[in-house]
Amino acid sequence: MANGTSSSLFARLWPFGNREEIVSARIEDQRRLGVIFWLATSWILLILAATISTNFLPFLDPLEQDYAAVNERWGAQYWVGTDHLGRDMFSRLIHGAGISFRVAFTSPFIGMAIGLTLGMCAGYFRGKVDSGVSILIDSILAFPNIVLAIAVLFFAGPTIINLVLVIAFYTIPQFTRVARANTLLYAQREFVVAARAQGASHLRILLRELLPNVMVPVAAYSLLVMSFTIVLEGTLSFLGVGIPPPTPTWGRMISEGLDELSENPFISMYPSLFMFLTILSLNLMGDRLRTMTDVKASSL
Amino acid sequence: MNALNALLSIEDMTVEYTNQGQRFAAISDITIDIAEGETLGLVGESGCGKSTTGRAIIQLPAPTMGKVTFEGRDLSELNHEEMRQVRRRLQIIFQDPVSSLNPRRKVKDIVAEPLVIAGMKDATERERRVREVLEAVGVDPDTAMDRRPHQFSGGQCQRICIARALIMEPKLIVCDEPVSALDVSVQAQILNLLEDMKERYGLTLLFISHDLAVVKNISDRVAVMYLGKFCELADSARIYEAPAHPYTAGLMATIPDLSTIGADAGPALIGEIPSPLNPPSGCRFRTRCPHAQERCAAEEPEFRQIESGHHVACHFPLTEQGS
Repeated sequence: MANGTSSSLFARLWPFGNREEIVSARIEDQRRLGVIFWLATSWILLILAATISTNFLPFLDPLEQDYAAVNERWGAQYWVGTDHLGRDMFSRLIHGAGISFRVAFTSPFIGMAIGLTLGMCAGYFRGKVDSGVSILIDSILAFPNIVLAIAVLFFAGPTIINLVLVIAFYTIPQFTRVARANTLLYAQREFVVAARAQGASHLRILLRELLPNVMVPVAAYSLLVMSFTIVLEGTLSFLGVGIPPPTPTWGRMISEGLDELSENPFISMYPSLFMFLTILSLNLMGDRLRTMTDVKASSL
Repeated sequence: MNALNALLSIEDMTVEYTNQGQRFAAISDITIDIAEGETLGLVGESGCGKSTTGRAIIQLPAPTMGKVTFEGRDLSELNHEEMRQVRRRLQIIFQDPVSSLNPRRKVKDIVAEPLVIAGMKDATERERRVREVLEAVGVDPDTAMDRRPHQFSGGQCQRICIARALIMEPKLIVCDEPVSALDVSVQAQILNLLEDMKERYGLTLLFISHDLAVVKNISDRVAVMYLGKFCELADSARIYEAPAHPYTAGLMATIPDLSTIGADAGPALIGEIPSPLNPPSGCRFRTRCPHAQERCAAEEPEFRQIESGHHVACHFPLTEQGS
């Protein structure tokens, strides 16, 4: 499997190969998920498993300050070292992942539910419903997202539920657009006319005929949205309006490390690296699944 | 037209579309009756309004003007619920069988769907009906029921579409180019199946096609459409032997089989169908007609009867010229 994928990757990059081979390699490449996809999935699953294991594995307390071991590098007790307050960074990274993942796994679902409803209605009914939905979506996009999130979290309080809801709000436009585009495409297919000819109601057509088809690309797209939510959560934490201290989050860890950059660059570097790898992994997975479930490719 | 035993009658039906703010008639003022138990062939080039006619009959979308009467009831006057009841007896089969079946659903669910919509709660009874109708159309229920449409060939998909149309035991089926997307060998099988089903279920068919050879074999009467209007309507044998409209004659000349070209068949059609946004004055066919005269541009020919059951919309029908 790994061998086949790497050779096809090579064939795509190598411009002098046999054309037929390149084409067949490409077709094969479309069917397989590829080694990069599996590496990305492994990273996400690893972080996810580590996050869950904090509940029962004896990780060090991420809040306990050890003044005898401030700004330590890696070692036997503190695996990747400690920060400027002597807190174990490994434990903080894993606990911080928990916040990111909680947001990443809940916000897109709320946004997806609303976006699917709006997008499918817009794509199916067209006309006035479509215009109404686009005005709504354009207004959401017109709010500067960080500013609104800061305002809401400031007034409603920086709890995880408020954070999830505010971030979910910003995923609505993306889901609406993907759902609308795919609904438009399937609503023109003759099986929808056939369903109407049988006397099916609009609700029945939306739920039974269109939803199963539209759901696939939308679900694949949700991985890309997850990475967007992690960035937004990180940005809010970095700006100090996310989950309040001392709860560790990646964004806050990066911002706390800024003051110590000359002393101990690893405080900012580790969470940055973790966030980078997580977002990259989600994007790679989402992109691969999106191409595979692409209507044009699947209808061949 | 005599409408004593008409199952479906269309009177002055017009369907208008809006294209970039401009309204135009895809079909204008067509009138026709379909008798119970007959197969009416509807032929014409692409874009002449054949499919629009078929869709307007099932009211998807409903015609802009005119009346469609089915089983003695005016469809435009029915309310939502009454229309749903009528739809069961008025079915449609499409050109592309793959696109007509939901790719994410199983065959048994697709075929049973009309029963579910009609409110049949009993799942075992539904399954019995699905098996029965699948067997009737020549699809093995045991292997097919749990599969999805992409696991079947085009011909098998069309059989499944026919099964879905038949399960509510309809009176009329609009067949919108049902064999155009299929291989020639499969076309014959599907046509035979439609004939068999017509007999078994007592169906009336409106058979829409651009392929005259296909229509000839299956139809009792044939109507020829050009640019949203009928130009000729006659018994199948009559229209193929002695076409009266120059357009029909031109279409006949395009059939590859030499034996079917009558003595009066004119030269093959030249040019392309004009845009329905701006149809020619007078006779719509005059721009391509080899016999066009001044009168054709000035005056629109009436759709008149030239002999019993033979209607034509032409000032100078070929049969009259010949005699």
